[in-house]
Amino acid sequence: MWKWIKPDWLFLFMLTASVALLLMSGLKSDVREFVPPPLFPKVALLIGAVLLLSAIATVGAKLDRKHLDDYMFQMVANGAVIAIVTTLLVNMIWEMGSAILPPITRDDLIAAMMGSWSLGYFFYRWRGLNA
Amino acid sequence: MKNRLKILRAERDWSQADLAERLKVSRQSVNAIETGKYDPSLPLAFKIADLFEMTIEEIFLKD
Repeated sequence: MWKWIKPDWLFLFMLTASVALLLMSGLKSDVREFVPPPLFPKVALLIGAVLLLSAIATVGAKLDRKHLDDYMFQMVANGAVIAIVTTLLVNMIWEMGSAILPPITRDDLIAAMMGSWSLGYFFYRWRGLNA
Repeated sequence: MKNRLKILRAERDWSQADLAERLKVSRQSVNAIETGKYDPSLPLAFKIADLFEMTIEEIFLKD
């Protein structure tokens, strides 16, 4: 079974990080006692941050392009798509069920993202990218 | 998609690692292509075809 599913260090690391984040986020809350007044409207800040960070991430991703044909790279990249979709769905479900579900923190969402990333990677490793 | 990579590699007495080195990809990539877990990109398919001095269609076959 172990040889068949071939779990590896990457899967283990990402899943461990996800579980650790989930456990730690149980001790924290997103509610802060003091919120300083924003210098800029939140939307402008968010747009600026997203533009800047996505530009940096795009330049950073360029460094990986030489590994584009690598199976491992493809599994990690495809796993990332699974993580994005799963995180969006988790967020949506929690928004819709906010009346009955316990509150979710940002750390919980990051944990869900890393967990689903590692699982996505694991499933692709197990079944192959063509499955 | 099926392929004849394993046969072609065996004919030349190359290991997966040998082929991987020639293609500049990891051994896992070669193994994944051979076992049908992964279809190579077009540039990599051309690289494979060039290496074996064949056309892509002679190496990769539709299911």
